[in-house]
Order: sequence, then C-alpha cells, then structure tokens
Amino acid sequence: MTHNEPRTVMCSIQLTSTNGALCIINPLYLREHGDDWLTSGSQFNTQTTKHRQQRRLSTTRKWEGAGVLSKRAISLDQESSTATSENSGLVRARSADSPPASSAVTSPEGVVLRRPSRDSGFCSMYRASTESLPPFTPSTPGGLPSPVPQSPHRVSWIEDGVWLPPPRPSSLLQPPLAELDSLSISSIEEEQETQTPSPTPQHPTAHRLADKVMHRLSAVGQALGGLVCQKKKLINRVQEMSERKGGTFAEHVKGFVETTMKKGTDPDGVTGSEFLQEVRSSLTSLRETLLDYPEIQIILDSITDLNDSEIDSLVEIALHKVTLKPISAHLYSCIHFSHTNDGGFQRLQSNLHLLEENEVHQLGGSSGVGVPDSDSLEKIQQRWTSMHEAYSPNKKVQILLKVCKTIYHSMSSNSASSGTVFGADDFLPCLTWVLLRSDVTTLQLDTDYMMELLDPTQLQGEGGYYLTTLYASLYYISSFRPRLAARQLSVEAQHSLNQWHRRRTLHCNQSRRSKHRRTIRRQTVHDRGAPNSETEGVIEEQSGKGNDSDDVKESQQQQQQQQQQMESKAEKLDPHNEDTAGGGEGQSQTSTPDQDSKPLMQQEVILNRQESKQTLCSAGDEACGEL
Amino acid sequence: MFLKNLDIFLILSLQDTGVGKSSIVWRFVEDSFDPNINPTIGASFMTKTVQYQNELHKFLIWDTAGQERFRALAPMYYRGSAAAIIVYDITKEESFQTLKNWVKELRQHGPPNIVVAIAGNKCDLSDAREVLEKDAKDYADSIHAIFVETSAKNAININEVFIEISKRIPVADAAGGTSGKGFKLGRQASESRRTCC
Repeated sequence: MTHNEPRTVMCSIQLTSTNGALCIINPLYLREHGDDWLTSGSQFNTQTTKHRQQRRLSTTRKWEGAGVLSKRAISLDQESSTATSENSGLVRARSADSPPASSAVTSPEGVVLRRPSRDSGFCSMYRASTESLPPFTPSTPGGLPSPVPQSPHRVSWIEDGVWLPPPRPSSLLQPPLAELDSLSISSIEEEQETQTPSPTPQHPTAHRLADKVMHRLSAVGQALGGLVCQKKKLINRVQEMSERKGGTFAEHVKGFVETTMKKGTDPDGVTGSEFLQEVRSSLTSLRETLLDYPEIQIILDSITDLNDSEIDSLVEIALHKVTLKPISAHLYSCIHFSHTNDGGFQRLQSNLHLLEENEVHQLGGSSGVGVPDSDSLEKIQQRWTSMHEAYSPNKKVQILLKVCKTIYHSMSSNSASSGTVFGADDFLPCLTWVLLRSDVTTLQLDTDYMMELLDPTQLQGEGGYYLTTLYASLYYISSFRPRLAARQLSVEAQHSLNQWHRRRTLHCNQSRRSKHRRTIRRQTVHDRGAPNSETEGVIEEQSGKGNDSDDVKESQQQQQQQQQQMESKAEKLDPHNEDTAGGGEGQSQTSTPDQDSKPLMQQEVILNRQESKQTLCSAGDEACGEL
Repeated sequence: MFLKNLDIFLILSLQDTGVGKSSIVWRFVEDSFDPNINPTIGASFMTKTVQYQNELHKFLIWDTAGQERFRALAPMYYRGSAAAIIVYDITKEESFQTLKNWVKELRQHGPPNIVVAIAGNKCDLSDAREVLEKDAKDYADSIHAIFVETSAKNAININEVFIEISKRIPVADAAGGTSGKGFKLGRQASESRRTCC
C-alpha cells in the first residue's frame, strides 16, 4: 500500500499480536495532524527535532472522514505498513518493557501508540528514543510523526469495550479533575514500576497529563485492557498497604506470615489440610480487613463491569501476592510432610506403577476417545510446572483449566469417531491417563493447595468443577484396588472423603464481600459464643479427634455418621464381594475394573431388592422433612 | 429478577458412555437463546441460564462419571447440588436398576432437599424398549422424583426436564443464598435430621 491509500481507509483496527489490546486513534487527531504518519513508508529514520516541530505546527490537514466518524474510532491500518503487524506489535510490547532497547530497532513501521507531547525538541527526541518513536516513520521528508502537542489523550483506547471519553477541542484540552483522577493512580504506579525517566515538566498540568497518559498507554500495551489496569491498581495498592508502617492491615499480614511460617511441620501440631484450612480462614479474615478500607472500596466501586464473584476473585488475587507469595514454599513442604506421614504419597506412587500401563479404555474411557499425543503431553507437562510455580490458587486453577482444555481438544481431535460429545465419563479417564504420565506427587501438592486455599465461593464454577475432577482423579489413583470394587472404600479413603466434605461445608457460611462484613474471627465469637477464634482454635484442635470448636464437632459428627453409613454398606457388600471377586478373579486378573463392575451390578440388584424398603422409608422421611 | 445459581448434578446410571447423558446436556445447552453463553472447556461442565417466572436460573451442570468404578467419587460432585438428573436407557433394564442405586445413594448421602429428576433416555427407540414407562413413572412417584422420557436425539422433552427442576427449586431459598451456598447451609441443618432416620 502506498501512503496515499489509507486516506480512503476510514477505520482500521490494530490488534497487538501479543495480547489483543485494541488501539484506536481518534479521528480528531488525524484531522489535526494528518494520517500519513500512520501509514507511510519508512525511509527516513533520522529526522531532526526541528523538522518534527515544524511539521507538527504546519500540518493541519483536513481529514474528510473526521466529521462523519468523529464519534467512532479510527484505528490504524496495519496493512499500510510494510512490516507485519506482528512485528509492530512485538516492538511495541518490547518497548513497553525495555524502552531503550527499542530505539535500536529499525523501522518496523506500524502505529505510533505512544506519542508523548513535548515542547522542547530535546524532550521529544528523548522520548522518541525511549518510547520507540523512531521506528514509526514519516511519509514526507521532514515529516516524522509529530508528537501530539498538548493533547496526549487524543489517542483513545477501547478497553474491554469501554470507551474513554472522546477528546475535546484543543481549547478544552485539560480534562476535568475526575477524569484525571481515573488515570492517576495506575499511571503513577506504572511510573514507579517501569522506571521510565521522565523529564521535569515545564507546564505541570499538560506534562503531567502527558506522562500519565503515556504511562497508561504503555501499561495497556502490555496488558489486556482496562480491567488489568484496575487489577494492577488494586494489587499495587494492597501491596503498598501491606508495607505501610504501622498500618492495621500491614500488621495483620506480618502476623499472618510469621505465624504460618512457624506452623505446619510439627507432627504434634496441626498439619495437612487442617493447617491449610486455618490458613484459608486467616486469608478470609485478612480479606475482610482489607475490604474495610475505604481506599480499597473506592477502587472496587470503580470496577463496574464485574460481578461480585469476580470482584472477590480480584481481591483474592491481590491478597495472595502479599500473603501467599512469601509462604507458598513453606506450605508446599507442609503438605508434603503431611502426605509423607499419612502414606498418601506412597499409595499414590505404588498405584501409579500399577496403573501406568493402562490405556484409556482400561481406565474406563470409551474406546473411541482420543488421548493427548506426545506434543500435547509435553505442553501439559510444562503447564503443570508453571502451575506448581504459581503461588496464587486462583492462578493455578486458570492453568489447570488450560490443561483441561488441551485434554479435551485431544479427546475429540484424536478420537476415532468425529463429532462425538465427550462428557465426564470420558474426561475423567483421560485426565487420569494424563496424570499417570505426570508427576503425581507434585500434582497432589498443588491440588491440595488449591482445594484448601481457594476462596470457597470460587469452587462453584468451571474452575471448581475441574479442580474437583482433578482431585477425584488423583483420589481414584491413590485409592485404586485392583481386585476390590471401587465402591468399597478403605478407611483412609473414607477419611479423605470426609475431609473433602468438611472442606466444602466448613466455609460455606463465611461472609461475602457485600453481605456480612464481619470477619470470621468475629463471626466465630458472635455466632457460636465460643471464645476461640479460628486461629486460636487450631491449637485446641490439635489434641486430635477431640475438637473443641463447634463447627469442627459438627463436621466430625457428620463424618462419623457418614463413616458409619459407609461401613454398614461395606459390610453388606462384603460377602458378595468375596464371592464375586473370588469368582471373577481369573478374568479380572489384569485388573481392568471394567469386569469388576459386572459382578457388582448383580450385587447392586440384590442389594437393591434388600434395600428397596429402606429407600422408600428414607424417601418418605425426606418428604416429611420437606413438609 | 435475581440470578440464582443452581448446581445441577448430572449422572448417568450405566457405563454406556457418551450417548445419553452428554447429549442431553448438549441438547439443553446448544439451543440456548443466549449466543454469548459462556464458552466452556468441554461437555462435562456447562452452564445455561433460563428464565423461570421472574427469576433467572443459572444451571451449573456438573457431569459426573457414571461408571461403577468411579462411584466413590460421586459425593465430591453432588455435594451442594440443588438437583440431580439421573439418566437411564429405556432399552436397558439393568440401567434402570443401577439408577435405583444412585437414587438411594443420593437420598442417603446427598444434600437433603435435592431435587431428583429421572430421565429415561432414547425414547425414540421404543421398539427396543425394556423398561416400561409406567414402571418407571411409578417408581419416580414413589420417591417424589421428576420423571420424563427423553430423546436427546430428537430433542424430545429435554427442556422439560430443566423446566420441571426450575419449578421444584424452592423460590426464596434458605438463608436467602443467591448461590449454592444457600443449599449448603440447608444441607447442614438436615444432615443432623438424617441421624434420626
């Protein structure tokens, strides 16, 4: 394309190749300054600043489309440049990270995303080099893209579909304070983070604004959109609060980290999932403390396009950085310690050897289902590694979802019959197949970590589902008994299950952001009249089974009750089991429980007859209960 | 109008995979009026929001592996669920028997007020029928379950199952919980009740 053509291009969209951020150049800018800087060839890299200034002052060319499209965005025509969009996107992304380096890049012409306004030529030049202006090339000699004079926010952005306010005429360039404010915090923080040298502004407001916008833009350059800015703002603020000297929140965080680091590995103390549940309770308290701060409320209130659950998740992620990051290694070793002690890892490992040769249909999948090929498997392994490296349970879940997606993709793309819809019946065996080829020990660590530390309200959705499936799959491996029916649970397995029950019920009455604002600590005292808070309660819980706090008692009761029920069921099953398992031993020697389930079926029928009365009875009870 | 999340626990009562259960969910979700229905990773977890009277019910459908060997894992899935759909195959008598065991298990270990729906799938194959509609209906009535014969293939009665579930979900749920939380709270209460049974 020549540089003339783009004039007929009214609207074009630049997607950065790395992250899909959308850049919109406002038509008014083009009306003022022409559009050829966007699109022209790149023969002239070295222009004097004088030229630029001249051009800037002289080119106020009319742009025909501006009137029509003044409300609409003119985005940049990436095709107009000779370089690929990828190229320009890359440069842009890189320039955001390491500004000076980009000056070396020669003419990957694309779009000027950051156009600082500088009155002095030196500044302009300086900026240009730090913000990778030179690559973007002029159309005419002496026509380097001119910095936007005093109107940096003429480059507007769409972020998550939200429009920034349209630019004003130059006489009204200074936006109202509110507008400035919405930019201020994140841009300042960006500034701190990126350490971009910014010359002392001569005209504070205009320059300040220029800087802000520029930083904001550079932030967006690496980010996904407005949400990320808000998120970053929140994370930075929480970080800052946790370091604030003498602040309540900072003290709490410090106390939390210190206490947690001391606990968890003492065999006489509280260990394993109970320890993690304590950590979770503390996290919830900390979150409540955090939410009591007006400064946090203000940030959260400014996020309008997210629902409560998503906002909760944002707060959680921010909190994880200051709380879990320093202690995650310790938590891993605690989980490791506990599983080594209870033999969980050993079971997992030995059953792994038992099962690892099994193909997916031997694990229960239908025969047509595909499994990941070696490339996908390699990719999955890498994801597992990064999942382990992530300290935030939310982040881990996101990675888990990616893995599940890869598995699902392999299931259908490598399947014998195309177009089949695969549900859990096939996904669970496939996931198990993958796990058998992975580092199950580390995965167990991560699963426990996520399971216990994820905000319980986040266990509802897709993440919760696949996490449950991961947990279930690991559980299936570790409790696998070649000859016994899967239904008969070992004592340890029952215990593990009960832990699961407890976990999912323990936190269910914990407060949500918008509802009860009491902290767990307060809630405990208030609701139960028990003097021990969660953290103190821990110590008392350590006496083993005899737990003091009411809720633990309650769940203990549930456990016992369920255990009894399960045991009684197991007893009933036992004689049949011996019969059928003994009889079927010959066939099921290869330990494909496909066959195990056959005798079980008959058993079920028998059992069913025996217990049909009972069912009716309990159904009746249910009905009574409902009344 | 408020949004209520319903955890729907979905199980197939036999290990003939793929055909019945997933197709029912797929059918239910695919003709969604909402084109922006959240893209999900796979067919084992899906969501769909339906309007029921002046409420929006968001179904979070947790598919559960139905194979016998995975039976022990089921509690992890049906915990906190408001409803369960148990699917059997009308052309296989044994699937109906297995279904009864699922019902029993749910009654014993599942959330107390869980709404149970029984779906006899493949009603398009009436020639090969092994389970009489009347028998199944009687059984369903005896346990106060929803009963529908469906055909995922011909999209018969698929939406009806979910509509019936919506009808049975208590309107103002216990403790005013807008998510599964409310159900969980309720469950704790009645688990102690179950001890006296």
